[in-house]
Amino acid sequence: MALGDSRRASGVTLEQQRRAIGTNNEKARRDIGKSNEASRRGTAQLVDDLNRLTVPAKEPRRLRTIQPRGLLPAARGTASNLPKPVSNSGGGGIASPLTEQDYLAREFWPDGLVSSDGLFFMPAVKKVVMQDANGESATFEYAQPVSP
Amino acid sequence: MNPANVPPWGCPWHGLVKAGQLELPNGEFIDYPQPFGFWYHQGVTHGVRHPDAPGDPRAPEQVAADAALGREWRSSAILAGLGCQLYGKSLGTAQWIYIDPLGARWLASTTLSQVYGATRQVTLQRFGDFGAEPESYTYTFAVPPYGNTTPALSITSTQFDMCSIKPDGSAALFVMGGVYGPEIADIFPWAPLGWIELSLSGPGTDCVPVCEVVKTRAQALGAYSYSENYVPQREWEQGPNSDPVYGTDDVLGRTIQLYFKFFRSRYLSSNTSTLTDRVMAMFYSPSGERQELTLSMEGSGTVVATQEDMVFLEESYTGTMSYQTHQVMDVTFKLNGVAIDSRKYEFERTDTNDVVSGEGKEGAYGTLNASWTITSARSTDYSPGEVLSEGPTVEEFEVGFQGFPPRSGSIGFLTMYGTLMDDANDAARSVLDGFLYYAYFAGASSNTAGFRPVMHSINMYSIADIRVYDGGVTKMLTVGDCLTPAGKIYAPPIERAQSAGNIFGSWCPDTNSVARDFVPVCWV
Repeated sequence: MALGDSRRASGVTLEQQRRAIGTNNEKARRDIGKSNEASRRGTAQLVDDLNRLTVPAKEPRRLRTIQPRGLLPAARGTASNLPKPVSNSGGGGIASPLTEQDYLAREFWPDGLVSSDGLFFMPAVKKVVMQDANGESATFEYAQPVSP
Repeated sequence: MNPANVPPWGCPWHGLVKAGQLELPNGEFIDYPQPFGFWYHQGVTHGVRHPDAPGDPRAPEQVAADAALGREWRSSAILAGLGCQLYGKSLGTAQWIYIDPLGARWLASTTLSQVYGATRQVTLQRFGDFGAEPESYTYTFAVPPYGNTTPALSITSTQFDMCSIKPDGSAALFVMGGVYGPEIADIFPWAPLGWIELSLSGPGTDCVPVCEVVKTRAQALGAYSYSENYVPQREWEQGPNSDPVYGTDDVLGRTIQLYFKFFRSRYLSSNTSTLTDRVMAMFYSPSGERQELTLSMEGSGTVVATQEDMVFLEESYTGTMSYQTHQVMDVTFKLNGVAIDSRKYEFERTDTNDVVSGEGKEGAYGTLNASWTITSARSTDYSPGEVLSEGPTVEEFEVGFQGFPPRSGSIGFLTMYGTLMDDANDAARSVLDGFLYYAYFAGASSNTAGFRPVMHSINMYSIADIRVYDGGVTKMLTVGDCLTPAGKIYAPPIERAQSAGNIFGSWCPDTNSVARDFVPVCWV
């Protein structure tokens, strides 16, 4: 674009902006006039003022509507429980299943459960040695029972 | 695991077993094995108490909720019957649970028997430990002489039974008995003639058994004495053809004219008899104290017996003859020397004969009155046993006589030992079938009264009163309270015909309840 063309385009834009401002100002003055006229006539404002002077009747509160109960129609529900895939990748974890190889290797606490008459005693397990699916040993050590 | 979060466990079923049915505290019945053995074993109970038994520590409302379901988690157990049933399962004849000082439980059994041996064994097997390794230890102990040979008795066979166990199982009592015959076997099966105690001490892995004779035969029999004083007062005869005789009747203390043939023999007899501390039973109290139940008797009386026959000859005669007889017998049961039950039998007789005669007539005889007075001392403050008594009672027992003269024989307690024992050595027998005291006249039917000790089970006894009414109807009333290791305990009396079978009974070491019945009963 030539320099002359740019000046002309700029002049046109400025002219249009000034015209638009003038139009808006004229419309705003006209709207103020309409508002003042309505206020003097007292139509909407009067109603609002009257409403402020009166106590509005309360709308009665109603309980929510409960649908009448009855037999529900039979329906079938479905759910899915997808087993998680077993990971045998190891990686430092324990591979299920855990299997006890030697019962006699169990250790028991001297405390345990006593029958009410004291004649029978079921000792609490202290230590159980298991073997996982990879042949690795896993030891379970249980806390000592507390006195009741 | 927090034991406080674990509900109580063991066996919650307790109550009286009868005919294979256990009545629970809520009134419902469940099937339950009836404890077995000879009839006197079927109600026997041995309480077992572990010092560390937890019982039921839950809140009262939880306990009540279980009780409504008939469940009761007790802190003690009962071994029932000959097989020492625990939870309805037999441990084995004469086997018991020893709780050693460490609290460990052992099933104890012994080779001790009526066959004497200088040494015997006791075996302890670890008991009640789930998951523990089996353990068993056998110990040998020396046996002292049983002391059951003197005095010699005419017994036909012997008996040997475990009769009591300490609550912690640290001692067991064995009784030696003598069996005489089946005549009273349903009431008292054998005469107890000695006791042996086997004590255990120390841990089951290092136990020390000790055997001791706690009562020899002589000690079991107690002390016995009997004496009789016989004094003939007068015996004379007026012959049939002699003239009328005027004489003085020194018995009556008055002068009468005798115009008749008169035969009379009259004598005065008095006797005394005592039986002191005859040991009837031994058992351990609920707290483990060794106790002995003894019987003592003391009797005395004066008897005037008359034989007479008269045929009147000529002139009329009016006279009066009378005499009185008084017999007393005190019977006392003692537990460790403390009287817990007693009976007093008193026989009073007043005989008045009004004799009116004429020529050729026989005399008309008057009246005779006799009565038993039986006093039951049923009140005692013996402890620690629970005592529920009704206070002293006196029972009048009328004795009727039929077929008045002739009469002969003995009266009252005069016969109490003489007809029942050959000699003092048979004092044991007198305990079994010698406690009937008759107002007896030969040729006449009369009421009688007496008593017998009754074994309901090997650790529960009572006294039975015997009544034999006119016509031979015999009744046995077990009105006496029950004599148990916990002392004297009241039970409602039951009545039955004599020799009509056993009177079963059982004492509960947990609740001190007792039961007597005609069918086997046992607390579990």
